[in-house]
Amino acid sequence: MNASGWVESKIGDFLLTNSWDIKSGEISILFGGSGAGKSLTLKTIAGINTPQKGHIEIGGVPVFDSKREINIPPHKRKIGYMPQDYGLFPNLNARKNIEYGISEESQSYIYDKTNTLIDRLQLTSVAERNIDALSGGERQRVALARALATSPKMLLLDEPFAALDLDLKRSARQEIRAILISENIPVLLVTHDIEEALTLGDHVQVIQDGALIDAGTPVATLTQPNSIEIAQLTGVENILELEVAELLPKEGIIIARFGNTLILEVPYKKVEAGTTVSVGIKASDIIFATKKPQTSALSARNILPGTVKTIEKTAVGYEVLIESKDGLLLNGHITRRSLEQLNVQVGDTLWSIFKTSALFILDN
Amino acid sequence: MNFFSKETNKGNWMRVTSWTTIVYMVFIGLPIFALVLRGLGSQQLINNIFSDLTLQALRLSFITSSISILAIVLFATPTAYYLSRKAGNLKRMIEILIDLPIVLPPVVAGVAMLMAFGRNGLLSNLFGNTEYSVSFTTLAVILAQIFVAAPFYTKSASNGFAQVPRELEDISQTLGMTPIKTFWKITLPIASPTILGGLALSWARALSEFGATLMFAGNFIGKTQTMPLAILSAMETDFDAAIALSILLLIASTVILVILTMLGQRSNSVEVRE
Repeated sequence: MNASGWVESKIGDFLLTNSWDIKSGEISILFGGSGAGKSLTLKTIAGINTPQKGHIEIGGVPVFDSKREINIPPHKRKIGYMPQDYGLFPNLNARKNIEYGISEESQSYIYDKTNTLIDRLQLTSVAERNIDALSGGERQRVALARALATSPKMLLLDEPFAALDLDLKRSARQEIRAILISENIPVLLVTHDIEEALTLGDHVQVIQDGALIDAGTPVATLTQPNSIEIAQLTGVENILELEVAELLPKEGIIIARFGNTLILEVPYKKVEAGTTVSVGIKASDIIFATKKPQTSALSARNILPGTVKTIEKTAVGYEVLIESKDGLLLNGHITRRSLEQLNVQVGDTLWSIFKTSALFILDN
Repeated sequence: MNFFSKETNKGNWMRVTSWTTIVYMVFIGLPIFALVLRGLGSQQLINNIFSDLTLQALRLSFITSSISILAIVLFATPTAYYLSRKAGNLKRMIEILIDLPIVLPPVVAGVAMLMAFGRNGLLSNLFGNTEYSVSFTTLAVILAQIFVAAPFYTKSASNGFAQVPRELEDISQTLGMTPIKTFWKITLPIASPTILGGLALSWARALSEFGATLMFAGNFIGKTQTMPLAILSAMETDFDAAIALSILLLIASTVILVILTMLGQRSNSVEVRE
């Protein structure tokens, strides 16, 4: 059974317009920055927020329709909703939290269902503990078990991994994805984390200021974004303003210029010659060399010299900012080992090397 | 001269605070000590405590304050919840009205109640009934207690409910629980330590009610003479009986305060996560 719908919800000056169509067993990602309307979309589907207009269908049943004046209350919508920070009930222990939604079923049903979930989510050793005594990962799994216990027709997950540390995030993602898919229900998952969107999603919708700005497969939509907004959301470190010098559609490239001397090759896209285009490239796609590489011995077409302006430590390595003679700034990522081996210092000259296909033209 | 200079500021300030604390403690403790001392010195203390007058007043106080508290809980709990989930000017106005009996002199409250519910009050005039009125009945005692004691409960309950993140209620509903079931299963249990604290405070206030009761219900033995009123009467006739009654009320109030403190500690240890 699909979960589909569209809504228009105005809260103060904020207008949310969104639509979705998610198949059973599919994980759809709602991607965007803070204040984009991601959580509001989930709350609207759950029935916690009532939109002005729209049609929401869950498991083939219309739960909201502004024209037909249908508005089924949250407790009858048969959805599983997992908010940010999980919202576990502090007055109940882990087991009681999980069985909360089925507490009016028969004793044997509650027992079987709860134990199955406790087993599957590896909560056996902590099932009788108070919520205070659970770790972040355990809380997340209790919240998921609680949402799944009622056998919902759709699952809404709001930043389910945001509260976990990086290592746990990565291991939890794979486990949770397997569980979600085996449930065979439509899942709508909100995140602002590109890695999460890429590893969990079958489909992604990008939302900004309450409006849908792009949708598609996570890899296509997020790793080679079409627009500056998405490039900024996905954390593309370099957005260059280049002048289109020559269009070469047969070769699939554009020759673009920066300043007087810099020439770059960009993948082909239908643009006007002579205009300025925004071109994105990720810091991780830039290779540095301390000596000028031999152009004829290299497949990468873009090689440009520059001076190291700053070197900053990041969570995973170093970020090196270089500036070309014409004032083009480029951020590149480098590991600690590379940095030491190349012995890069501020003021040194470095050659930046990147493939044509690492660049992508963004719509203004 | 350098009393408030930076170097010695803290030391002197701490000395000042410790002295005021001592004076404070003596000021509160001395009358209580004196009362207990006088009571223990009385040969008749036990007899007075178990005298008809005392027991009648005690029974009346216990029954009326219990009924008052029950009525307060029944009516003020939904109101407190309503206030905890609302914002804006209307809410502020309602809150001012709810708080008014706290600052209003109880005697004024009593007069006001007479004006509303008395023999020639607003209600009896409205319904053309000047034959019967609730004033000077046991019911009047209860109404006076409710009037002055309700704000303490309502405020605490409203604060307790406000501490329960709305999100928890939303989640409960997505898990199939109606709003009323959500209230019983989630909101009330989480807010209960704060609410119970307010309940104890409110009960203590009802038990000690004096001014409004005297004005609105009078001072009739067995009918409207609660413990505080009995103390007033006894002061004029049997001083030792007044002492015995006072000690009884002191014990009752202390028990309530201890319960209140314990509940307060429990409420601090329940961590509500946002």
